[in-house]
Amino acid sequence: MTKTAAIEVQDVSLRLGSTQVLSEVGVTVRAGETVALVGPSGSGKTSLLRLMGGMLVAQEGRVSRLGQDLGQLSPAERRSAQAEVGFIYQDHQLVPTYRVLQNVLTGAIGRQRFWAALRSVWFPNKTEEASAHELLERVGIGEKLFAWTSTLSGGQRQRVAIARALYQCPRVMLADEPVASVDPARAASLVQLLVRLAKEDDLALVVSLHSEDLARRHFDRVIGLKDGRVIFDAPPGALDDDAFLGLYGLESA
Amino acid sequence: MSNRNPAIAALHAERPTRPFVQASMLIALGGGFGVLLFSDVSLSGLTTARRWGNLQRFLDELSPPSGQSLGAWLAGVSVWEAVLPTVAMAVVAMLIAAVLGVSSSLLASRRLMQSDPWVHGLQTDRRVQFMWAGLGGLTRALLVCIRAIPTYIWAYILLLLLGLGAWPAVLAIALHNGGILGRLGSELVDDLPPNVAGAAWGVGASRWTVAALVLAPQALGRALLYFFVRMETAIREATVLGMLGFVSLGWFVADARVRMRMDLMMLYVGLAVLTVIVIDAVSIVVRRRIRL
Amino acid sequence: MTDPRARVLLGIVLGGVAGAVVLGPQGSGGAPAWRVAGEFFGAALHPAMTTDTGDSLIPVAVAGAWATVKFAVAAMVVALSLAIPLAFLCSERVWRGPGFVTVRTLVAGMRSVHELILAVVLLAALGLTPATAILALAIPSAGTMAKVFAELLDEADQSPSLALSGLGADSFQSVVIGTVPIALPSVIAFAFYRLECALRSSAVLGFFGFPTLGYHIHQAAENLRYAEVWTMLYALILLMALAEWWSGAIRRHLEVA
Repeated sequence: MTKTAAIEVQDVSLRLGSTQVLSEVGVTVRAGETVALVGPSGSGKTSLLRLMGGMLVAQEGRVSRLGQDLGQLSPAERRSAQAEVGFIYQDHQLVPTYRVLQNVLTGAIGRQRFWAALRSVWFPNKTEEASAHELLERVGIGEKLFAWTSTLSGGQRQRVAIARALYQCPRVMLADEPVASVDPARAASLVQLLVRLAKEDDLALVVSLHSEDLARRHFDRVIGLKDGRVIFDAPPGALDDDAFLGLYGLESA
Repeated sequence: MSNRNPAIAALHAERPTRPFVQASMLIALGGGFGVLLFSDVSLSGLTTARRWGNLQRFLDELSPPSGQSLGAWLAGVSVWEAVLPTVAMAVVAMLIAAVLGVSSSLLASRRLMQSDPWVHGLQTDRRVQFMWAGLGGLTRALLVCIRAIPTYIWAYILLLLLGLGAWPAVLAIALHNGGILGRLGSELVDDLPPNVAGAAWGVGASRWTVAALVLAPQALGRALLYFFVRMETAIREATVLGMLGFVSLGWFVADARVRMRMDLMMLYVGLAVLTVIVIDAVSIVVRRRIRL
Repeated sequence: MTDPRARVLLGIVLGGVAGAVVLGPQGSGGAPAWRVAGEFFGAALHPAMTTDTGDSLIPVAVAGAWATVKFAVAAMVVALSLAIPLAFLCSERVWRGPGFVTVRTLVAGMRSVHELILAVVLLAALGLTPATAILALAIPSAGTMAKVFAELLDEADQSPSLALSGLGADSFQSVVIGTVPIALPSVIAFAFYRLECALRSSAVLGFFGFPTLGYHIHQAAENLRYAEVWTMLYALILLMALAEWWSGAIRRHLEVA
């Protein structure tokens, strides 16, 4: 079965305010591929991810996901397309006053009608508890099912955020600097978790990172962005240190 | 519905809960519904025929007596005479309340009422410590009693004792709100960071000096906020207390009611609402400027 | 004096002095009756336990306190059922449709009328029935709660609700499921504070004919039975102290500022 691209960004340019954030960017990601985005601050990583996630609209070019052109969707179609994308934020964006179980269950509300969504998050039934528990076990914190989210550490909360994304049964998983606020040891373990989940579930995974080390170690492909342009896009084996130094403006010559 | 598998059931049994809050909400809401639905204190009185009769009569009386032109009607309304004393009462009462509040908050503060407020672990004379703590406890108890009595009841009592006039009412507003400000102020003082104050105390300043020069500037912003929140209450109370017999908006309301002039009564009620809205607006503007 | 807070302080003092001038020194009818005052405060030390006829006053005090509580909690239930929908309508993040200004004006009006003035109006309109007291207590409470709840909702951290929008929730869903739980502890704490206020106002309504503690205080005072007044005052103080403690305990358990 030929794999159609899960995400296809074609010749996209994006201006926010007076800044040209992205220029003529093209990226293709297939199901089951894991891609790392690296580059200095302001290079456009977050904007590219948000474009892929459907939260921003480009002025030029085309973004399509799972075969759908994101620019051509009606608001209702856009919402149901969003439900299939798992997005991990740097600051997890969980509700601190919910139990971990409830935060995981909020993943499904994009697919539910209002009162059903309310009932499932505020009064979850045992089936929902079991599904959430299963996902929490997959990310390694099953025992925190009923804990208050505010009592968890940063790394644990990111795992909850990942479980929430998984609960959406996504086809695409995007992560915007998910380990920037986490210490290096735990960062490696979180990145490995994301990559493993993507392989297990055949997801298209795009993660933006500061650490080139993590990028080269765990991902199928690494894309380097600088000043809104793609500098390189290749498997880690094909890249040498110069490529990365060039990104950060520290040429060796 | 399937049962939980044992692993989840075990986690469920150990989950953290908030029994006090949940029980409180259950009691309050359950009690409220119970009273409303099953006791004599219910809304059923609204639907009897007599109510509608009353309401009919009331609405009829809302129009001015026939034969009066608009000009003559308006002339019978004393706006300034009603509003000015009301506002004056509220402002004066709050000033007194502020003085009461500040002084009592110092005496009620747990932190200040010790022999060595900003030093830990000092071995002090038990009797001295007891006296300070006793003063604090006494002040707190007194404040509890003062603010437990609603302003209206204070006013009723003070008018009984001091005779008719605006000043007993002013005192009533000042006492009740002063009691509240005292409690809020003492909590404010207790929550301030102890480092700067401790340094001043360490150099030998008296606790009152420390309070005036170190604590006051730190607490000022919050304290002013509390002041204006209570001011909004004070103006409402000032409008109402007139019903006890001296000149404020409330007096005009009660007077119109007694004379069976429902039209005038509603007018004065409207005036009272308007006064409150205006003072609230001023208060909000000032509060925003303080935050800057 | 460039610090705005210092200027506000000065303004308050000047305002107070001006107000005092406006009120004028009022020679209240005769010098304060020192004897009466002395008698009154003296009675504080031995509050009456029985009426003139020898029946115990304790059941009366308890009944008065219980009635005070009943009116207050009934009014709170009514107030909450009004306040919650009104709060959503007043919140800038939930509702910006037509009628936005109308709702806010209505709520401002509800907030600004004092319970007792409303009681006078409703007594004239509907007569002496429990419903009058309930409505007089509920409407101003509903108004303040609607405004405060709306503010709490608008000022709460919006990032979780943005994340929920990102995964496909519509705007109302993301506010209710994402922002309401964040504002909820403060909402609950404020509601209990309003219950405290409702208890106070409920006691005062006794002066207008309802069977709460204020009624008994009024009766005793009119008949110059000072010791009995103090019995009822002590009952009121106990009730309010309990209510304050409860409200404070809720706040501590919820760890709300």
